[in-house]
Amino acid sequence: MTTTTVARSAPRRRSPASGSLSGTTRRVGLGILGAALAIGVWYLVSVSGIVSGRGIPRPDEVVSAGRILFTEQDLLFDVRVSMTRVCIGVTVGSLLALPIGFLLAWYPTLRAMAEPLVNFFRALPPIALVPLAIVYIGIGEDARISILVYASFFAAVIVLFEGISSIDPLLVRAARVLGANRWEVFARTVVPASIPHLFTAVRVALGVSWATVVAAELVAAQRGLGAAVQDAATFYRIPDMFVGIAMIGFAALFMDLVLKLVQSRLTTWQEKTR
Amino acid sequence: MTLTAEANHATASDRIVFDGIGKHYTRDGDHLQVLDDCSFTVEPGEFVSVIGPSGCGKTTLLNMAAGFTSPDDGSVRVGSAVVDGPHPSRGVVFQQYAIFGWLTVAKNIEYGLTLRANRRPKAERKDVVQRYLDLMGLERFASAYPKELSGGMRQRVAIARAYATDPRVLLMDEPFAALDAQTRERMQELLHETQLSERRTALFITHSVEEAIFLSNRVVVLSARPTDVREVVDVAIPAPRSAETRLSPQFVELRRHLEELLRSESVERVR
Repeated sequence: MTTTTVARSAPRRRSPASGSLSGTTRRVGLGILGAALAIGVWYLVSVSGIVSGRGIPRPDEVVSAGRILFTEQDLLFDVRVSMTRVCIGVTVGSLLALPIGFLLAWYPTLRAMAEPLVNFFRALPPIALVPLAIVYIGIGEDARISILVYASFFAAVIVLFEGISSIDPLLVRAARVLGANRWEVFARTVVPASIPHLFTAVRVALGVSWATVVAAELVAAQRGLGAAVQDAATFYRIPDMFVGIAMIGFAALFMDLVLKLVQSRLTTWQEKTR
Repeated sequence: MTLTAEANHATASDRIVFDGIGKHYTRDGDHLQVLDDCSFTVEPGEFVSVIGPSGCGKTTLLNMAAGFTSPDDGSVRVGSAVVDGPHPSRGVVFQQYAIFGWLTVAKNIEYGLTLRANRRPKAERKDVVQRYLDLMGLERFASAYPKELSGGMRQRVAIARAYATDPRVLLMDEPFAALDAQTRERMQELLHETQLSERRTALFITHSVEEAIFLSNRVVVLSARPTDVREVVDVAIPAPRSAETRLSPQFVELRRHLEELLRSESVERVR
């Protein structure tokens, strides 16, 4: 009697991106169509001249400006500089946030004490600290990295401790009745149950860091994508500004996609909310 | 007595004794007596269900036996020891399954055996896991993750996981309440068969009179708040029981009696 049930409802394995092939193709097709439409609108606006003053460059002008920037001005170096800064900031910030997040989730008293502070510092835009960082640390790389670490830390820590506190207490109970001691409850139940929250935290930190790095580079940097955009603005090279801005978007998107890929590999077990 | 304890390893140290249990809360200045001098015993190897009007403190009693909460008056003893915290000798099956989503079915069952409190060598763990996979009809799901399983299958994993650490007693808190009617009956039959072969001292909380009769040697009927034991009913229906059993005159008569008891308690509570 039980065997028939088993046979009928054999498990569907390995389908993290479930959906039929035609569904996926359709989605990608529609995505491309949407982007193409947006570029079309951009083209029409740029040739119509409805934007006053210098107008906005056509898509093809931006592409050719980009080709020159990459071949002659080494824009790829700026991309790398910004990406490296973001990577260091997010890595250090998240690593610091990890133990703090666990501590705050584990000890309610500590959490009650820290929560207003954490909320204050998270609400405070990291860019507001740029002048302060310049005064205390100078305009070097240290100042920029410090700001990024700060931004990543507060973004990550709040996601982490909220995620970790939301872990079902029943799982902890289940582990305890099976014989888990305090350390085992932590290492073998709380930590694995936290991994999805860790990924969310890093992705949030990544978003905040990109916003911050560009702002920091606009103010005080020789290289990096923010500096490249600022540089182009100084000389009214508007197509170059568009290239720089587009590259910021692509770089941030690329890093988020990489992280998403790693996440889906490491948390195949997770139930999708949708 | 039909599901006698003689055939298995249950000993006097597995007896669960609820002795004069009292529990009260103070809410908004109101004193609320939930349990009041509630006493009953689950004999070694016996399967006892507890039913009662909703809100009467059934789950509280189970939580006391599990060591999650402690009584304000009286004590819960398992064997000669007073329960004062969770212990792997007392396995618990929860209504909400509480299986570990990041572990496969086989790893979930193995979990308890990898903890320091009851660690077993790898080869032995493998045998135990295989045994309970077979017993629960989970062979084909060994490497599946919980998200791929239906509610009934998840609860099988939870039951297998509870059995795997070889607890002296099993405590089950409405484990089938979240399942649909058909799955629920099948799970009752599966648990009944398992109890016949694995025999543990078992305390089972349920809302369903039918479920209580089908599974148990005895049914403890609790009164409305403040709760004590209204009646303990013997279920002298021979094992093994099957779907047919539910239609037998004996079963129907017991059911009528228990439902009448519950109804009178609910009415008293409303008045």
